[in-house]
Amino acid sequence: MEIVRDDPNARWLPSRHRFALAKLVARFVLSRTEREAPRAPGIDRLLLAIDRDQSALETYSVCIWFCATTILYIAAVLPVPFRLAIFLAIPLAALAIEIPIYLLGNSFVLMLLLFAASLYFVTTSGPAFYIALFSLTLFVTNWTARLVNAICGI
Amino acid sequence: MNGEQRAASSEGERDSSARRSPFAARFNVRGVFWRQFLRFAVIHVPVWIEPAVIATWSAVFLLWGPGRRGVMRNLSAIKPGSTAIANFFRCYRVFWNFAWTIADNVRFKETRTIPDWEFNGYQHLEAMQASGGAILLTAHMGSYDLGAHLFAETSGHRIIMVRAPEIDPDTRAFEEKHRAQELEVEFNVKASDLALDLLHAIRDGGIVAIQGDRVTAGIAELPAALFGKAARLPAGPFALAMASRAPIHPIFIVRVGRRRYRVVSLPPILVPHSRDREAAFAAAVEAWTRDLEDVIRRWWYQWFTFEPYSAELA
Repeated sequence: MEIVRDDPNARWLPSRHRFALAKLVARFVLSRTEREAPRAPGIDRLLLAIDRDQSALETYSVCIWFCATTILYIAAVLPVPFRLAIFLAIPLAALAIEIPIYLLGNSFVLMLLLFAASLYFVTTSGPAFYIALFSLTLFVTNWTARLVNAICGI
Repeated sequence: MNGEQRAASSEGERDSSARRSPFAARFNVRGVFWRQFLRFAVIHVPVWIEPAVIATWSAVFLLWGPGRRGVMRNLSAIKPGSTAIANFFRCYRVFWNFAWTIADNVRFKETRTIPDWEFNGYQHLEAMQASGGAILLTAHMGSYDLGAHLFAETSGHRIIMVRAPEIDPDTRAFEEKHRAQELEVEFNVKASDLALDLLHAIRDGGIVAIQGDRVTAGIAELPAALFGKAARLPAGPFALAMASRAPIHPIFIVRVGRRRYRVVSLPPILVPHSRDREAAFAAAVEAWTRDLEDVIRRWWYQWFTFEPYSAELA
């Protein structure tokens, strides 16, 4: 595994990110950082691993988006008032997310399920419509970013 | 609780585990099912959904009463005046960090994925690596295995990890099968069993890594005071330091974020060869507990001790 030593800017290397959009954003941030970034106080040495799942910001952002969207979609189909539905949807979403993982265990399948759900909810009215629209926009933006990355060699 | 009582209590735990049917014992909190499940999850769960999965399972493990109560009692001593409800939520944070740590550890064993490392007190770490033989004294914090691997890779020294064996035989076999190949692990089951081997290892320039915050059954112990409560700490590292004349290096591996760990190295503790062994041990134990308290006070959510550390808290 590749390691970068004592260069805090290496956090923004596109190769430390998984999704095309995150890689593109990382490339942009990296181009705007100082050449010699100072180390955090109290840190004498730094070793940064180069792995496409190394970015905490990217991982938490995707996870929050995916979970929040799933909760809202489940709440939208529950036959109870929306506030109560949100409350009930939280444990149901935990199950809804984990069951496909243990059955299919695949990142692509999970994203495909969310994409299919977004295509359905974008045809409905209410809060789920806006979330579905936002999710579909993210999917399209990520595909565009993938194209840009391929052209620019990122 | 003295050594014999603790040994009896541990034997009782083994007996109760043996009384369960082998199938039921697998699902005990220390059973092999959870290790297998964790390995499956680390390999199969998409990385970007891990925070949600870990948050859910950390909440499920709050149902583990003895572990939860042990952590909460320890927290009541670490944070005097804290309320039970606050410590319940702090306990969740301990479980959350523990889940991340063991997941990172399994990921390293299965896929060789390493986290980011930050070093604090690097000069002390360099001194340890430059010395011919040393004792690395640490606590049940962060990832012991990941840290040992880092030292094995960077120092070029032979690293011998000393740890208590798993109670469950299936879990022990599973861990043995899946441990990182380059690490040498010795299981500390009786006070006298390992002493000579470890002494030779240090004299041959090796680094012996020992967790010095908890005593297991059958291990020689020394009295100490931790957060104002009477505690028993393992005597082994101090006796080994005196016999080998090697310094003790207090080093802590702390998880500071997702896939990000900090190595905190503190000044070495010397145990002089002296006629008054008791006084020499007492001074070394006091220095060690001072370091331990400072680190635990700052990173209380990283101290993975699920039993009350003091009989006063039991």
